[in-house]
Amino acid sequence: MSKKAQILVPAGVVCSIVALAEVVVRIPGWEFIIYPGGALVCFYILGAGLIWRIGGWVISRQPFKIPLAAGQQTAPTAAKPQPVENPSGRVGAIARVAGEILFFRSLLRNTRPAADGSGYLRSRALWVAAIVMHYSFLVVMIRHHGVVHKTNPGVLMFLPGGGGLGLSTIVLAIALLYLAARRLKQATPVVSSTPADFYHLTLFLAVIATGIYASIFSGATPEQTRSTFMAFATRVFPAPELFSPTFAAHVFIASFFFAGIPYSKLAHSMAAIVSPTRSAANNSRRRRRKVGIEIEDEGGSYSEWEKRFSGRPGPGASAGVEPSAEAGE
Amino acid sequence: MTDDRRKGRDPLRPGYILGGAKKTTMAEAGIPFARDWKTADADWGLPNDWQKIFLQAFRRELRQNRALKIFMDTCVRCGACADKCHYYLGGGDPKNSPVARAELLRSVYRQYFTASGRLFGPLAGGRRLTVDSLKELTAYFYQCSECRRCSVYCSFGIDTAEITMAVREILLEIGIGFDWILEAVNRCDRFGNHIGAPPDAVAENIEFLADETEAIIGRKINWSLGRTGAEILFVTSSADFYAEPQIFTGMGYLALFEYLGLDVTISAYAGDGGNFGLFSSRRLMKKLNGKIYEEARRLGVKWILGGECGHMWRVFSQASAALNDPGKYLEAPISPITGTRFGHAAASGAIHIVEFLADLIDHGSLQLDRSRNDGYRTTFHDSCNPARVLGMFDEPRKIINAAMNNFWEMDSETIREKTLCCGSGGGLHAEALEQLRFEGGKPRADEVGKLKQRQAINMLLTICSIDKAVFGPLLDHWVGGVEVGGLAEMLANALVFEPGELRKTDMRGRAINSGG
Repeated sequence: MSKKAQILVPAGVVCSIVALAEVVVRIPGWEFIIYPGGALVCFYILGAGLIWRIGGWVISRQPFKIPLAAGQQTAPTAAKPQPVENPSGRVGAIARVAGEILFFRSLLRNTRPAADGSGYLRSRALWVAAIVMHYSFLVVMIRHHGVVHKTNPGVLMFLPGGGGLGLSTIVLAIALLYLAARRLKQATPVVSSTPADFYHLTLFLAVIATGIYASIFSGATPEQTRSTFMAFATRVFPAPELFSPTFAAHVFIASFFFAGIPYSKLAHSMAAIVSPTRSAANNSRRRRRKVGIEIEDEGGSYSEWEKRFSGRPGPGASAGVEPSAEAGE
Repeated sequence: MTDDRRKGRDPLRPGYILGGAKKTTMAEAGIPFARDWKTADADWGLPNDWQKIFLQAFRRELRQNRALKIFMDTCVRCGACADKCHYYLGGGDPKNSPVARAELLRSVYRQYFTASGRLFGPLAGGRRLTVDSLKELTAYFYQCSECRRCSVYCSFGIDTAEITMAVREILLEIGIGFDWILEAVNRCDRFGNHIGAPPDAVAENIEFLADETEAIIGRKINWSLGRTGAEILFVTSSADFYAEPQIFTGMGYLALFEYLGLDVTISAYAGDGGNFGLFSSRRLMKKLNGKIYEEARRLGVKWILGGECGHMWRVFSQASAALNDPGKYLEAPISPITGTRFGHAAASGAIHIVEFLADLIDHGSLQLDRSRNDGYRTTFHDSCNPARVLGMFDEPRKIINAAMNNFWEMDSETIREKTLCCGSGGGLHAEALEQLRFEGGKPRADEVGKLKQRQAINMLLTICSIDKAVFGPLLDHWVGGVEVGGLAEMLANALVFEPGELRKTDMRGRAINSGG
């Protein structure tokens, strides 16, 4: 598939979804298909997907523990053990996973080879973009609390109240655009990018765009937005004068985006928690864990081996056989 | 992107792919569809229903290998891993990078095992399993040395080594395996070592090395092969007793054991720690690993001491305890010299000689004359498995600092857990892969070269037998004037058996202090 098609096809799909939502939600009597009906269906699909995806991982067995040592082991001979980078127990493993989720620890190590071949340079751009994108997304999500309650919860009171265009939304959009541009520009990610990557990026941008449109340009009052949003939770459709079609379409498109999480690469949000190389303690030398699967046992063969060489001269005598060096070392 | 660009380079070009396999080799290793076949042939002689068998095996792998399942579902294709791979850094083939390599399998996964892939095919990133895609898959998964460096930088910890192992396991089921790896497995099974030396030849070789060592240190070397009742079974790469420069490490072991008066025995039956089963299938890995524990049990030893072998430690760390339950017949290793109990290895019953020696150094149990190694100006290459599986970083450095005065680290972005692979691990140190190996080893060689310019180093120290085998030619090609050695060798050079003793030569038979 050509690079253009890789981007245009998913972009076309996203535009169609947005157009469909925006049109149908404005057809009297049909709006429920999109909202709250469609949005609710999306959330059921999300729920089912989470069970299916995580269930699939849980059912799959684990032959061996495969933690990755990214630091000094804990051993009597260690000068300075690194119990988080190379955890020997559960606490360290939990701290390690927390580091991945909260700080994207591994991505923080990122380097790139210097153009003049002089060595490896710290490369933080991807980490910064990823951190900014995810945290601004989190803030945007929390700010939605204010759409309903007019203030933000607890410690996040300091954030600007619901509705309106927050700085976090702009930052989120910029970070996403950077990531999309990076994907287009860099050789290797482009080789490995799939239409699905661009689909998720454009859909995410569409969620943001419809959100901005609904809250600023659609002319909907905060009361309309609030009552429209509540319909999702209460499943009671608001009176027509309290209904904001643009906001309803935004919630539907956002739900559509969330529904895709377990079925796509967005499942990485869950995989970061259970990654077999990060979440396990590196202690399989210390504590036995049974093999998770059946592996055919061909049994010991010492007696057979002894018989095979029984006619040969004893150790120390000339063997007269040239060992072959064709295979292995 | 054009299709040409997506295709990358021809992965089947000479120098980048192993040759094929002989029917007899495949049959002996218990691989189905045994036949003589070559990768250069258009027809690989695959079974008629190979697609069906492949997909069945893939489905089974997904069910019994959670890591594979998670890694198939997870990657966001951020590309952070790409320029961490030594093959991509050294060769520049975009498909020979962790993310693109994994995508070769992931695209098949999407096509056949996800709803979106079944419905939308290539639009959803799916790819059909055809003879061409199979050949590409084979080539690139036999161009991965399973070094795990990419995983260090991945936010989700995706370990390409695990994906590579799974693919090789699946490929074996349709009869795609290679002589270079399978023959090593067979020899290890049949003879007890990769070289295919019968027990009497093993004894003869060790005897020869013992004589050489005796001539250097000036005292008799006591050693034994398969001695029942010994306290410790010593297992290392067979190359330590056969190939240069590994034999200098081998002589180092013998000198150290003599110095310590260790109650240790070597086995001809389990005469190789190297386990090429790891590079082919879990069944074969278990078979070879089981031999070591069977021998430990037969000889009645208390614990196992492992030598300077690389991937052996991946098996010893991740699989040994699980497979053999040695807790039933082995004890947690306890140093008979210092009394240190290596509780961190209690379940596997096996410790690394570098751990054992580092403990001796901690306790001041070795009399050492560092100046004897003054002729060597060294750096240390962390071997992939002792590094990224064990996390053994402090210990080798303790030994080096105790054994010599001239040691410098390479670029901090390329040592310890970030170490660059030699480019020949994972069963790839074959002549057929020479181009690939030299490209893959270049990033590491470049770092050695920089240090040579700055500090005039003449010796690369490492604790993996494959490293020792391949770095010689690799550094000759890219750098020149840098030899390869092991830690036991350097320590044995510095060992003072009696105060005031005069040692004329080092383990290489060179006048003390003459170095490289």
